[in-house]
Amino acid sequence: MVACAQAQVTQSVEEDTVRVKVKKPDSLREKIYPRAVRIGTDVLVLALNTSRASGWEVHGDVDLGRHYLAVDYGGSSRKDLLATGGSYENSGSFWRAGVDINLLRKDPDRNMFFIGFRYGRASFNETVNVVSSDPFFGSLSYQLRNPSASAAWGELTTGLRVKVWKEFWMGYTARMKFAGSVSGDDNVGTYIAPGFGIVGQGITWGFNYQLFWRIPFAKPKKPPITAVPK
Amino acid sequence: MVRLLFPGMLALLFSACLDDPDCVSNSTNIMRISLKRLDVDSARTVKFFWISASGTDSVFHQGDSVSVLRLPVNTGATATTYKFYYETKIDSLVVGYRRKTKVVSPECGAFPQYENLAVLSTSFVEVKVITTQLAIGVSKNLEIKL
Repeated sequence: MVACAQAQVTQSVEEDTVRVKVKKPDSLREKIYPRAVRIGTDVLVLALNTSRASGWEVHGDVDLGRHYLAVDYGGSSRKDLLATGGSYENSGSFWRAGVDINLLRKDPDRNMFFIGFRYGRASFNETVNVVSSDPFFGSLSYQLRNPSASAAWGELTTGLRVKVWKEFWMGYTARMKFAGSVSGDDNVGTYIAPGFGIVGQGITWGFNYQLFWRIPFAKPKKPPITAVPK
Repeated sequence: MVRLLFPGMLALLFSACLDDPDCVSNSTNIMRISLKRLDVDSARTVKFFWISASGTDSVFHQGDSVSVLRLPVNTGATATTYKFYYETKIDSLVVGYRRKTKVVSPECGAFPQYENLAVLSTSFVEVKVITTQLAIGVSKNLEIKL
């Protein structure tokens, strides 16, 4: 009898329950379409330029909603005097391309705290002026050169993008660079690949402090509201 | 989450400062040659009057009775010719190699490397290349049967 009464109560509760499918807010279900492009440069690299080493980088990304297509392009050149005599010269350019994922999904200004991935490639040349001495063959100097070396690597990135004023943005990107490989290093064992860093250490690290200008695209037009005839 | 991740990211970034390279190189221009008997696979000790090398007036292993030779390759060329004066014979050996250099860091400097060692010509009956790179720790680059 008691069991029968419990069954009746459960049935009535189920009948009273109304299942409402809650639609997720738009901020969590952003459509993928290009909203804006952001173009910037790394001021840290420019600030650290010296007569010995110089470089530059430009950065761009396309706002697709939660995801951003990111592209970097840069160049560098350096000349070092070596402790063993002679010198090392390196100059070239590099690019990176990848995707950033914004973890701040509800920010009204579209500020970003992101993680991402990049694939990078560099083409460069290296020259080493070698000065050596040998007890049997005497001292001599000669030049060895990699005229067209190239490098490839992957990067895990993280960082911030913050809206400062109108369309002016600031941010930083920290990079963990891995799986570096070099080809064309027949005469000089590559020391530095532009955009990657010192070759042969496994993982290298990078840091950019960036200024951006954001150029928004026109918002997609909503379909016109047509009057429904009565 | 940002508050938790930010210090971790900074710590990870500054750990890169611990990656300074060591000024260590195992490069050398010394080639190691082991001498073997023609008939059986065993070491042969030979008394040399001397061995000459192209590019230098120095002579090597003068009056030595040895089964392993240590001969320098010419650092200013990509091939070296050796002449072996021993017993009642004179034999020659020409080896070729690629000269490469590796910069460890500006503070450490550049170290030459010799690799792709090959026998270009010889008057010995048999010369076998064992290890093509000259490096400290390599026990044998060539094997000569005589």
